[in-house]
Amino acid sequence: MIDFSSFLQPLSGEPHVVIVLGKGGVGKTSVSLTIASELSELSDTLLVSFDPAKHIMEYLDLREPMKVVKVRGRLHACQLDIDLAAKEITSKYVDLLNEILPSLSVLNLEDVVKTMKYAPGVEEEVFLKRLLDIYRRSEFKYVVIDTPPTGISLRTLALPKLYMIWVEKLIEVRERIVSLRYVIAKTLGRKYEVDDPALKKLYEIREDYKYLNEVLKDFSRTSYVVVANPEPLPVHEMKEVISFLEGELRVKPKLLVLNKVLPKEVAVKLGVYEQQIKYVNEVGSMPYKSIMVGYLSNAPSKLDDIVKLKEASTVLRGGG
Amino acid sequence: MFKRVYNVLREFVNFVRGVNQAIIEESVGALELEHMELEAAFLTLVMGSLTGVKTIPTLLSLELLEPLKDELKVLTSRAVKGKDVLGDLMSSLGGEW
Ligand SMILES: Nc1ncnc2c1ncn2[C@@H]1O[C@H](COP(=O)(O)OP(=O)(O)OP(=O)(O)O)[C@@H](O)[C@H]1O
Ligand SMILES: [Mg+2]
Repeated sequence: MIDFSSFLQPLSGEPHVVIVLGKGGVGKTSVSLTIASELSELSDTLLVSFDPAKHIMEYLDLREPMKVVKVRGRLHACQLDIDLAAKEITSKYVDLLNEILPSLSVLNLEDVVKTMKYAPGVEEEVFLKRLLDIYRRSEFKYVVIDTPPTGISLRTLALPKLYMIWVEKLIEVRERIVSLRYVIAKTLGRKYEVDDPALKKLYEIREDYKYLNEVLKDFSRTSYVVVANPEPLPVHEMKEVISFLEGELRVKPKLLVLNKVLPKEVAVKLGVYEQQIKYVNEVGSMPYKSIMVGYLSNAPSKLDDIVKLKEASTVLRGGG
Repeated sequence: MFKRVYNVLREFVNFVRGVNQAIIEESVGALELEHMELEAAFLTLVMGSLTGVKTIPTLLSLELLEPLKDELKVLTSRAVKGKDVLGDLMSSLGGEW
């Protein structure tokens, strides 16, 4: 039996965040659950699902999204609901928008806020806000994140950098405005309030995203686990994720998991044995730690099933 | 004689003062214009995504709504009332047009 989390050292940071990535259906949720359950033996652990499919809720029998629920021992779980989360954030601004931009109230303002979440990028922004919350004020020692489809996940992870570019630009213009105001007021002998709330807010936001950008790149604070099956598309996506991590974030994945590896007889019978061997070798030869998990005849569907998942696991590539 | 020199000097001082004042007013006017334009550019950058121009991340716009409340109100009222935008611009540049 293999301990998945033993491959994730160093697990420092309060919290240490484990992000599980991979193509849809490969076993991200099962792997997240396995890792979270192991870590909960060590300390308080939160499993957060960002996946809109909400499989975690079935797995763990959670009733309500957005609530942190105690599952067992020191294991807690929370299913994020993107609609609810977006609504929570945007609804705070309805009154303010109404007051400031009355022209918008020609349209129905409620509708403006409701449709805002469909604007490109908003979903990623909502995830990012959650991620920031997790790093900034989590009462848990470990947080495991089960991610949405790869595209959204990678865009979310790339966002802090993009945000920083925007914020820097805004700060530049705003600082010029504030200094002009100061010069004008001073020259005319008027009193001038030096504090600019917008500039202050922008500095705050810059700090937040700078911090997020740093912890996401920090090997000791964030572990990336990439899951695939021994098939063309999942492995292709695994490689995409790895090249994103190394290219954009300059960080290596800590663990690769090749899940649903068929027993030899079955693979031969299905005519996929050659292909399977090829992908096992390919993943095993990548310069990262990797685990192989056998195909279970009974698909894991509850917390207790993860024991079987661990029993079906073998090390592909261990050590450094 | 002495009195005459004094008067000339005084007039000269007054003249310099006047020029100074004019220069100050002129440059403040120019600064004010730049300030106004920058402010409008900044607000457009910040609130673009709310008005259909995808500029900055939407939630970032929302977060900046509160601290920019007053300026935004001025901007929107300027946009509504400012029919003679060119005229405003020319008069703030000063001179004969
Ligand atoms: N080793 C395994 N053997 C057999 N079935 C498995 C194995 N691992 C996972 N499964 C099954 O495969 C399906 C998908 O697994 P899981 O939900 O963990 O993947 P996922 O990557 O989270 O999928 P999604 O992208 O849909 O969220 C589930 O029905 C699960 O029970
Ligand atoms: Mg899942």
